[in-house]
Amino acid sequence: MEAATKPKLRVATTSLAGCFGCHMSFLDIDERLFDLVKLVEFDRSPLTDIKHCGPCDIGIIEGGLCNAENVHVLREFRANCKTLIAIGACAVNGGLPAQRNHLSLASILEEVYHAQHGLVDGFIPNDPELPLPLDKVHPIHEVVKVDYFIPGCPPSGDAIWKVLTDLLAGREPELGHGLIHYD
Amino acid sequence: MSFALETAAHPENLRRVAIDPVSRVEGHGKVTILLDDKNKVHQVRLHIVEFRGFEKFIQGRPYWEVPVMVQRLCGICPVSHHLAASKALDAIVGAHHLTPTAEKMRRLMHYGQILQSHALHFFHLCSPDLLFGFDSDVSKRNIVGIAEKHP
Repeated sequence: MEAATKPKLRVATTSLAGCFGCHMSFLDIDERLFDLVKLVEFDRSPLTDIKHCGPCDIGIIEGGLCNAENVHVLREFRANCKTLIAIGACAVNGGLPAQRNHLSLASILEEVYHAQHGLVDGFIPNDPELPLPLDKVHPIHEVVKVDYFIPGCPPSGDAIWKVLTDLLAGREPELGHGLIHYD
Repeated sequence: MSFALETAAHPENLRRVAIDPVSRVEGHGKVTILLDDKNKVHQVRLHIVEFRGFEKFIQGRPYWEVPVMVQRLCGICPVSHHLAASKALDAIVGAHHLTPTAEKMRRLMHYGQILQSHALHFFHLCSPDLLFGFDSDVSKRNIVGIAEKHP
C-alpha cells in the first residue's frame, strides 16, 4: 500500500472493565507494530497520552462495563468510531468480572471494604470523584452496536493482527483455524 | 494515617485539575489536584476507579481455579497474581515445602514478569515523556514517535 499518498486511518483503543491483558496481547504483534503504524495513527489509547477519543476509523474496546464511567467512554468511542471492535472475553460477554453478577453489589462492597478479615476501620469509598459501580457487569454490545468481536482471554496477537490487517485491506475480517478460541 | 495534601480544608473555592485517565502507569487511575487563585496546591489524590470484587466472587469456586482466575486481576502482571494465589493454596493444601525445582521455577517466572513489566513501563509509557519532554506535542509523545526519532 502507498502509505505516503493515502491518509492514515485513525485507531483508538481503551480498556474499560478489563485488565489490559488484551492490550498486552495487541503488543504481542511485536515488530509488526511498525508495519501497522505506516498505515494507521493512534488516537486515544493507553499507548498515547490523548484523553478523549476524536473522530476515528477503528475503535478497539477491551473490557466490559462495570461502572458509569465505562459507559460514558464506550459511548464516546461509538459516537466517534466508524468501526467498533470488542476485543476479549470481558468486552464480548462480560468475562470474569461478570462472575459478580449473581451476588448483590452491596454485599461485595461490604465484604471487600468493611467486613473482610484483616481490615481496621474499613469503610466503603463514596468520594464523588469515583465512578459509581453498576449493579451488574455488562458486555458492551448490550449498550452500543458492535461491528466485530474477537473472543479469547486474551485473544492472541496473531488474531488481533489478522482482524486489523483484514480491515485495513478492505476485507471482511475472518479468524481462521487456530486463531479463534475462548480461553 | 493522613497526609498534609490529602484533604483540603475548603475544597469548594478551589480550581480542579484532573488527569483522567492516567496513561503513564500500568492500570486504571485518575489524579485530581485542587489549587487556589495563586496556583498553590491544596489537595492531590490518586483515585483507583476500578472495582471488580474478585475478593468475593472467587469464594466458593474449586480451589484449583483460583490461581488462573486471579491472573485476570491484571493482564500486565498476571504472573505475580498467579504465584501469590499459588502460595495461598500451598498453605491451604499443606504444602509447606516446595521442591527445589518448583521454587526455582517460580523465581524464574517472577524474574520474567519483572523484566516484562519494567520494559513496558520504561519504553512504552515513560520514555516518550523523558525523551521529548512533558510539554511536547501530544500527537508525537508516544512509542511511535520514539521509534521514529530514536530508533
